[in-house]
Amino acid sequence: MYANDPTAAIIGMDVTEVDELLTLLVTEEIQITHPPRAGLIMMTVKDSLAVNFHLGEVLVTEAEVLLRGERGYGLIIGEEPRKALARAAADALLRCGRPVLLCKQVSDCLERSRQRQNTKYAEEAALVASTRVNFDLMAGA
Amino acid sequence: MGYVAVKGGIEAIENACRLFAWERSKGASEPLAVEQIREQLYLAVDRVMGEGSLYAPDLAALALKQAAGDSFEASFMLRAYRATQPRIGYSLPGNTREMRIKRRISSAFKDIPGGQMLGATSDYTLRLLDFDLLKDDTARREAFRETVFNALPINAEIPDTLPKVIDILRHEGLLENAVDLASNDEPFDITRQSVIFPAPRSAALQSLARGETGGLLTLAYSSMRGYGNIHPTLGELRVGYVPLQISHPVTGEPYTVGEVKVTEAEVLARFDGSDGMPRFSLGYGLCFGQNELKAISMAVLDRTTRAEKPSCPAEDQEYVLYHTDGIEAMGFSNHWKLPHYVDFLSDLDRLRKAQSIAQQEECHADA
Repeated sequence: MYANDPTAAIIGMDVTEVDELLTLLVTEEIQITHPPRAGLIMMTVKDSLAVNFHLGEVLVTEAEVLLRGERGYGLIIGEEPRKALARAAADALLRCGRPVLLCKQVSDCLERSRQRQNTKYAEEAALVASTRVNFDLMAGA
Repeated sequence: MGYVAVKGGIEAIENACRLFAWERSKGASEPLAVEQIREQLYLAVDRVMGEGSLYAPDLAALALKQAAGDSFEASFMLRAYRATQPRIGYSLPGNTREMRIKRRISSAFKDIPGGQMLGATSDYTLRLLDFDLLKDDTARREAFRETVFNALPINAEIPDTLPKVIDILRHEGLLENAVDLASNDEPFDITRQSVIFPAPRSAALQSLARGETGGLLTLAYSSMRGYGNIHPTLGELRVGYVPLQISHPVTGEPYTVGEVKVTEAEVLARFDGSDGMPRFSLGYGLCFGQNELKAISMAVLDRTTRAEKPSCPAEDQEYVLYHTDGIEAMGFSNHWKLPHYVDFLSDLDRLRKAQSIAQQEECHADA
């Protein structure tokens, strides 16, 4: 899931995982430039005639931080102030790339959560796959 | 006729609001947790999010609790809540081809690439009451969970993405083509601009996507029954999760905000040969959450309202879009419950005068 964006794993983190991540991140000095606030993103989609339209709004939480001079941005679905903050801090840290050890620890933490979520998705997919149907035509049809 | 304001009754109104809250909480049962509504009445939550035009499962569940289960009231609350929140921005155009599939069926072809997945559905149940649910408890759920997972076939998996049925038809030149991208302007936003008819396609789809399920169904059903002539077939119906992405403000790269559950319907309708070559035409429906009746109805109405010469209400875009917003329809219907004393007195005066004139004319005729 969304392997091109390492902080996306925070979207599906549970409370324990967020706590673990925040514990790592607060070892750095984090300046909260925009505290978490709820807001809306208008979701735009492309229909099957290739026309873009607005499907409706999605409740999100947004936060911004500065970490070692790097701007970190966190936006996450739902009312999730801790996740938004964690995502902003992780965003800044991983782009900054320092300190190396902490980056490794945060990346590992994100990776563990991603694997847990992927397992859950695979389980859900297996349930869906179990309803795959093969229709046969009735005799004479 | 103008409206005349009345005042007073503050104490009675406050007591009435309190009494409503009391009615839903006076029973001996345990208070209903919002989490329970979100998880166990998820189709109601999905419906409220779609009609409220705000994807927020926790708030939709809260609204259902507060409204004692009234989906119109709950949708209204969500619509009101969204008006209090700042608009952070617009997403990148989402692509439903990236949907994490939970259900996918076609009534056009029995064999489709990737297969049909029935998913979680009540379509094939007998609609008989399940009295076992009267004894629902944790132990029963655990046992049921085991039954579900033990029955899983080995190596049951589905691909990350599945091709669309309409792609097959398009490939063979049997379906109308996508709109010329050059003419695809910035989408209209009905929350920021007033709609002028004929509405652009983007405005019509946005309006239908927030429409009330029953209203959409009624009009779509009228077309299905013959008040119109599009003969729809369900090419594909999908339920699943689509990524919500924005452009990262620092890097400019696509940035995933979360996953949004949607239902998508594509109906294949009567031939259109406007460019000289007959092809199926397409109707498109997409809405928040799992709400299949709504998505199918939307797809049918998308197609009917593109009729060049509307012959019935379901083919009249203005009629359809103006009468399918549940919040507006409910608001107008509900306003009749508000005091109309002065207006009605005026009606009474006119009626009495009309009766008096009629009596005088009767007497005059008799004489």
